Amino acid sequence: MMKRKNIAIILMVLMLTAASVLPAGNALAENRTGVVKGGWLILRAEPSFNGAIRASYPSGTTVTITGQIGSWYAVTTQDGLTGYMLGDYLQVGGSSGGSTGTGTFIDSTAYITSANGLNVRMRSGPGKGYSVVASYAPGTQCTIISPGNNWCRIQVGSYTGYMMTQFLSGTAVPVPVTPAPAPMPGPSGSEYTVYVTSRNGNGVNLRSGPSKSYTSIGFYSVGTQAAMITKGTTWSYIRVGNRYGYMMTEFLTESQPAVPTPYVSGAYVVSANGRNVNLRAAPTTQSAVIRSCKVGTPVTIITRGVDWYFVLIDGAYGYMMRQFIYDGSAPATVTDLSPYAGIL
Amino acid sequence: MSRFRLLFLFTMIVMLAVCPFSVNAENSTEETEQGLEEIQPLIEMTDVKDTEGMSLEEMTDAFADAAMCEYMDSVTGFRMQYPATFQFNEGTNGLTAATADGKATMSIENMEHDGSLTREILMEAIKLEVPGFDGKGTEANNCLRVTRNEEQDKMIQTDLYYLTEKSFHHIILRYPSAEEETYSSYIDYMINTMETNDSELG
Repeated sequence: MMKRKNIAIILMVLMLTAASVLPAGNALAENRTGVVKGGWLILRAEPSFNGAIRASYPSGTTVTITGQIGSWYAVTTQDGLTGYMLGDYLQVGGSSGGSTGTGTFIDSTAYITSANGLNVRMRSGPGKGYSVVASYAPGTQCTIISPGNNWCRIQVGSYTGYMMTQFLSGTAVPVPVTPAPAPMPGPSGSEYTVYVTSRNGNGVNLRSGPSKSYTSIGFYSVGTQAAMITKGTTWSYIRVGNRYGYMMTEFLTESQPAVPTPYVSGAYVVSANGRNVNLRAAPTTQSAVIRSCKVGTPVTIITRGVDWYFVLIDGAYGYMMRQFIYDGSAPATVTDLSPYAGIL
Repeated sequence: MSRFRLLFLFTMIVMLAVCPFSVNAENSTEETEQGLEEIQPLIEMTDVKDTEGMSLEEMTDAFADAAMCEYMDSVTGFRMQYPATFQFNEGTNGLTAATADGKATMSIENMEHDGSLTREILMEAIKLEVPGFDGKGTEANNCLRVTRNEEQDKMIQTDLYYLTEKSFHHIILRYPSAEEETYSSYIDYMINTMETNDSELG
């Protein structure tokens, strides 16, 4: 009698344990289709995180669902493997199939990739505003800790952080970078390429609505490529990269505008006697002369010292005495502007 | 050993076997909070109030949508996000922005170079511009940040020097000393978002 009682207690403990680990679920009577979402999903031999890993599959992979145990789906992949996948990361029969992101962790091997061979940054959070933890060359192996649609939490060696999903691949072979998301469809149909332009060469605001009373959500220089979604008489709905908003139609052109001259600060070389002014290698008159500059030569000021400015003149860097530069903002510092009124 | 002790031992073994699940869950909770300490103070400065139930990525997007704008220069490919409180005026100088009250300003200069402008050359030039600059500054994401107090005006000027192999970008922010903490956080965020076509990805 005592023996039977103990066996009953053991069975109850086992049942309670199983219930706490595996949510209740019913076997599916019929096959359904599932699509991997949110990164890379592991196919395991058992419906458990301890199940042996058979393979991993990237977002978009279609599998056939043959059954369900708790939150795990029994699946058959297109390459003929069978096993279990966590339901949180499968879109089943067109439904959401559960939430993505936080809460469940999946271990998965992935490789960093980039189409142009540049390193990819690991950041401390899922956004470009987070600090850079490290950067890694394409081909670096990493472990997916938490997959996401746009950002995955990964581990490389002892470092953990976030990396953009588009730069992670389930295979060691570099794959092309995922293109930008498809634009929102506009009422007029397909989008086409346009460029930002302006008469004065200044940049143009992208706004959250079709009026200047709406806030600016971006500022783009002349020549910036955009996608026209809906062209209006006064305002057009466009996309710049991944950012959508409204820009005045008059500042958009279908032909690529001439590349504007790089911005200069409106500064010019001046001298009281009209003689050329030296651009030097160091802020002293004893240093080597890099170039002799005519009066009126445009100057881009990089830094402003008390007596010397560090400037860019026609592609050359160097130092020029402050008194020989008119920067448009402080005429009192200029030796004598009167002979150059026409220039200035 | 009595049967009760055996039963107790068996139960303990089963519980220990299950334990890793709960340990993982705790670790997971801690790990998902990486980055939270960076974004939370920023979110508190915005109108984004109800973040309960949001993932870190959703919180980040909510903050960026509410508080940040994007700037892009097509010539150099330079991009960054800047506080939405700054508004560029298309009609005047397109590279200078100001807040609605005019108390804070931001200007941007972009220029290409042939690779001859190096960090060392730039450092020497900054020493001339910034009295007392020891050549160290704060560097992150290839951006040197130099802050100076203008005590007479109760203003602060922060210069951001972003140098790549092909281009140089100088962003100057001037803001009231009383708002230093707010702007400092925004500037950290701005620096992290700076990139050009030839900079690292992501």
